Amino acid sequence: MSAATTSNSPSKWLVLPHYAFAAVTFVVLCLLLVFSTDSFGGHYFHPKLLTMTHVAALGWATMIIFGSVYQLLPVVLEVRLYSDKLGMVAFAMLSTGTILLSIAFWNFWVGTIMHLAACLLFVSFLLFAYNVVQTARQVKKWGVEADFMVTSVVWLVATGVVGVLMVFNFQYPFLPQDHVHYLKLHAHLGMAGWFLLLIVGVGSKLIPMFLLAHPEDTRSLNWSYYLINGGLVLFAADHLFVHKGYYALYAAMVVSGIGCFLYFLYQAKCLAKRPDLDLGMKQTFVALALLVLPIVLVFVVTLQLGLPQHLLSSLYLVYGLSIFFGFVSALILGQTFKTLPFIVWMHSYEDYVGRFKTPMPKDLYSVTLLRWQNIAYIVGLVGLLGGVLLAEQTVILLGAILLCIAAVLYAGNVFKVLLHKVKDLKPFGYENAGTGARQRSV
Amino acid sequence: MKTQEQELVNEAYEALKYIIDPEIGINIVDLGLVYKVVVDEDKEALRVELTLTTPGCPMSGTITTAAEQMLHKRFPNLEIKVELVWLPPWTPEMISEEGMRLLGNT
Repeated sequence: MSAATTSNSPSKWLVLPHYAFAAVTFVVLCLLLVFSTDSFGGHYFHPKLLTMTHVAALGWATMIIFGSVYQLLPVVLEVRLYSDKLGMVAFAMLSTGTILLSIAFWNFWVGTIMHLAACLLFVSFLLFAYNVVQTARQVKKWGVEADFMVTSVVWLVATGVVGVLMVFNFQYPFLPQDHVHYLKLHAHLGMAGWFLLLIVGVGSKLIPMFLLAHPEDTRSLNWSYYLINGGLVLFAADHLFVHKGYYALYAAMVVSGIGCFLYFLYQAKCLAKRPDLDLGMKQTFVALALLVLPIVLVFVVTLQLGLPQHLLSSLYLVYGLSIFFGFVSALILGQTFKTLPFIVWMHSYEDYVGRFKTPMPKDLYSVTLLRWQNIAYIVGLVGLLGGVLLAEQTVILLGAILLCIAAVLYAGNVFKVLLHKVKDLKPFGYENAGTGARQRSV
Repeated sequence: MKTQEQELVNEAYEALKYIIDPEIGINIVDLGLVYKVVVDEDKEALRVELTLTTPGCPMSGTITTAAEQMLHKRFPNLEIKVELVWLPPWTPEMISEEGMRLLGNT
């Protein structure tokens, strides 16, 4: 038998600040939502909507993804992270850039502050991408998960390039077409290239692992990879150079790729040896179900179907919200409590295992808070999307308030885990362990 | 195997059952992570080979140390050697009947 190596985990000081920043940002995002219900009545190119989108995409989703990737990349690729220091510098730049960009968008200051913010964010993307690529270069056994993760950072950098160009174009117009044209490209490269590919790559490894399933047939994942990337490359090429407008075709390719990923997860679910799903996994499956909404809406907004302009504007907003507040947020809300307690537990108790009775990772957070968080979130999301679709500000406000409650519960639970202290550990002894010891970690 | 050695091995397996996989919540023996427990011919050392559910699992150091600590406590007069191995790769089929029951499979 071949001997194994020791743990590849990065420092907790690299990973945990990302979770803390993201949790605070999610509360801020939901508060901004409460005070921006008037901005959902028109076009999506609105300072408040641009602010919220970037707070959601950068401070919430990208922030927690960066932190999770530093922890999960060694698990998925089975190698050590290339550099913790690079990750810490990227964190400083991502957090500062997000705050500055949000302030600049809210006030629509298109000058120095926005330029500085865009540059900080772009450099943080480059550092992150370099770290991921250098880590991946050490991989001995390359799998399709590695393809997804490495390609996703390429799309992240591409999204950043378009973003920086647009920021400078606000003050010094040089791009040949209007902003909305490039905004569509920027948004879709970010959503399908960065978020989707990374989620598929990490999810295809972690979800079967959490379900105790080992699906060996990865053909559907290979199809997923080529279909999503093929659709995105064609979309970008069409948008920038060819201008043929076959957007429904490109959307169909990306959606087929998502379908292949879901089929892979269905196979994993069939093989699962763990029938009882905890709340974190249930929320993950809620997130996957919520994918239906943007999948349907991408065809509606692409084909337009002769719908009146005001309805189409609402549908565009619901489309964007269903991705950031729907799929991506639901997934983070669930997966946080699959990963964070484990990370904190590992760093807190690794020196005590075998000598003391220790709690389990699930004992580090409140299941009651998590349950109410999930309920407030799903009702709030329905309210928000329904309110935007019906153009009812009161319903939007109600949804926003419920999402705020979900965000506060989430942040409370996250900080309960982050601030966990080791105390009152009883020495382990076979004489006092009893049969109950099988239910506890030691 | 001689009866006395077999008894030692059985006791070692029982001791290792006190180590719970923190993510899955069941012990590492019923999870099928312990591949081999052998007593050296001179009966001065206990050698254990165990694995993890996935090679990238960050628990490698923690579970190995836990196994060493538990066995040291149980067999203070024996030298304990715990080795982490990857072959054969762990699969869910290695979970014992008791493990399946603990996971909620009827």
